[in-house]
Amino acid sequence: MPCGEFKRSYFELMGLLKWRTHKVALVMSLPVLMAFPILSGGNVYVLSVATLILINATAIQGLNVILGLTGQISLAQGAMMAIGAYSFALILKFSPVPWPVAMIFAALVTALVGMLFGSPAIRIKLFFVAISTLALQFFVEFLISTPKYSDVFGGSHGIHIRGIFPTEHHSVYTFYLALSVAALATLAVANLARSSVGRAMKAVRDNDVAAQILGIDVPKAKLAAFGIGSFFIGLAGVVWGIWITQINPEQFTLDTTLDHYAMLIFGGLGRVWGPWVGAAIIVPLIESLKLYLPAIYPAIGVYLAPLKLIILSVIIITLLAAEPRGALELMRKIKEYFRIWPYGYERH
Amino acid sequence: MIQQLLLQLNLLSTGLLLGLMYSLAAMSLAIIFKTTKVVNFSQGMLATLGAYLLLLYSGQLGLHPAIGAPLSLLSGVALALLIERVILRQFIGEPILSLIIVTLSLASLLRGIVMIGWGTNFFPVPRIFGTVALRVEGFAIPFEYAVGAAIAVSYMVALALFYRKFVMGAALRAVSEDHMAATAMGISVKTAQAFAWVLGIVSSMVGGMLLSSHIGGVGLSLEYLGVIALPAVILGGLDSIPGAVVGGIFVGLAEVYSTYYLDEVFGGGFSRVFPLIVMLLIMLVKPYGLWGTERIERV
Repeated sequence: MPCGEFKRSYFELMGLLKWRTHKVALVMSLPVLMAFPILSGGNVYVLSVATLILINATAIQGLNVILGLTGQISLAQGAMMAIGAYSFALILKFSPVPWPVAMIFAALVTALVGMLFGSPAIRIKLFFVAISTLALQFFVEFLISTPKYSDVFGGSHGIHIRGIFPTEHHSVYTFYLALSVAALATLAVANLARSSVGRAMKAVRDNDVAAQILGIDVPKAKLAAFGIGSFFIGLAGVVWGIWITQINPEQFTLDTTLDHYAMLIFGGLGRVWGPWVGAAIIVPLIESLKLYLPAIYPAIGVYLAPLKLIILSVIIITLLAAEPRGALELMRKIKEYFRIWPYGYERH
Repeated sequence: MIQQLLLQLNLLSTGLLLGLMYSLAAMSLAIIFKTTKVVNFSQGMLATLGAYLLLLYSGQLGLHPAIGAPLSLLSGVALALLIERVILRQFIGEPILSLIIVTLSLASLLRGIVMIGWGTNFFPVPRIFGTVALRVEGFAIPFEYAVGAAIAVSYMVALALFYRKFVMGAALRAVSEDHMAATAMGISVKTAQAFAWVLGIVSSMVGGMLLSSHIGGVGLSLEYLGVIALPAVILGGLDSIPGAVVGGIFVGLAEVYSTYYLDEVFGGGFSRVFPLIVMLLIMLVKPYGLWGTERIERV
């Protein structure tokens, strides 16, 4: 009797939910997520933290396509979310389209910008893409905060996104919106990862020279990664805008990039569940620090922001040094250790 | 007419001198990239930290700047060795991707520490060189600028001499050519890399200190030095130290001229973004810069 699950046909290997654990986890977690507003007992704070987790998970799913699947880099997480949120607000302001359509258009705008600034990846290597996306970050920050264009972008005050949901149910509605967007993004990335485009991306990540020799269109794969990834980051920006209702430049700084990298690396690069795990652990961690530390030491208020920076960067550096593939991989290794215990390796 | 001439002269001299400070930051990037193949994204924060250390020793502990500045550079050396030993040595041979993320997080780590130590306020710094200006008929060079330029230039000359005349300099050049061959010749790559980090961090700290005395204060906004140095090295070529000097001066000029001519057209703060736009254009046309080593690695 085989101890474990084995696939007997290629068809089984291609399934979206391949393992029993996945099916059990889905069946157990889906009702919890669907009923979360009821389970949270009308507690708006808990619901808002959950919404924040979902928005982050969406944005990190986009980063996952760029960084995890294709091995490219984007340091403009804040800028991309800003592009999504601001173009959404502007489309709503200047045209009568319904908001779901505006949402798609805003994400498409982000995808276009992402492809434009990711295009140095076609000719040259990582550092240059890192630098060009960093330039995008500062360019967007300048554009949305300069007083010169404040009649369009609202300067440092930002833009108010007019009520999309009725005020009394705002948090519940945005939770469901964030949940459905995050779920769709995850489904899309999961399907992307097992399609030919996704496998081309993984080949580029693992060895781009070899991928080229095998006949994979490397520039196309890189551009597709930037386009698809930025699309989801833009969507996350739109949801953020709807949720927070007042968007301003301070919400979209380079710190967003740090947050997202910490969460993605914690969850595991290139894994579909990585963004969920990372966001679901790190967002509550930071939020509970914000909530409980001032209660213990009232004087700590000023130190919260630097403390967050230090914690996130230490998480990133230690994880990259110890286990670059994230906490999930670490858990897998621990599981593997106990599975073959007391032997050091598998005996056949 | 004479007004115009004086204005142009002022813009030119300000741009040149500001450019020399940017050159120091850009050189730091080039020195580290040459030997370790890492673009140090935490460079701006290290420069800022240098300024804060000078503030600590000279402003808050009351030492004379002539003692405080070397002391803060010494602390910088110690910090560089610590960072190299504790963090960066873990990542030798790791993918470039990890290194980019690690240097970025290092910047955040340092920013967190600075924010805990000094808060986010802007501190006016002691005027190291007084406020005397060389003044000729409406054409003024602040004395600090001149001294700053002198320090920057002499630092560059010293560095060039170091690379040409000293054994360690030759070793650094060898390591930047080829790690394997350098090891075979008995050069310790690890020592060379630690040395490169020390040199790089010291030059960005000198840049940070000079810039802070130019701005007249120390604040977290100095971290912008790390971003403004990127167009400079991209223009000059990532692994070329003379290229970094030229690129830095170019960026300084670009910033000053665009402050004067373009800020009104495109909105305040455009001068900070303008070098970045120029950089993106250069990257499209000549990605290895003017003097950078071209690696034919087309995929």
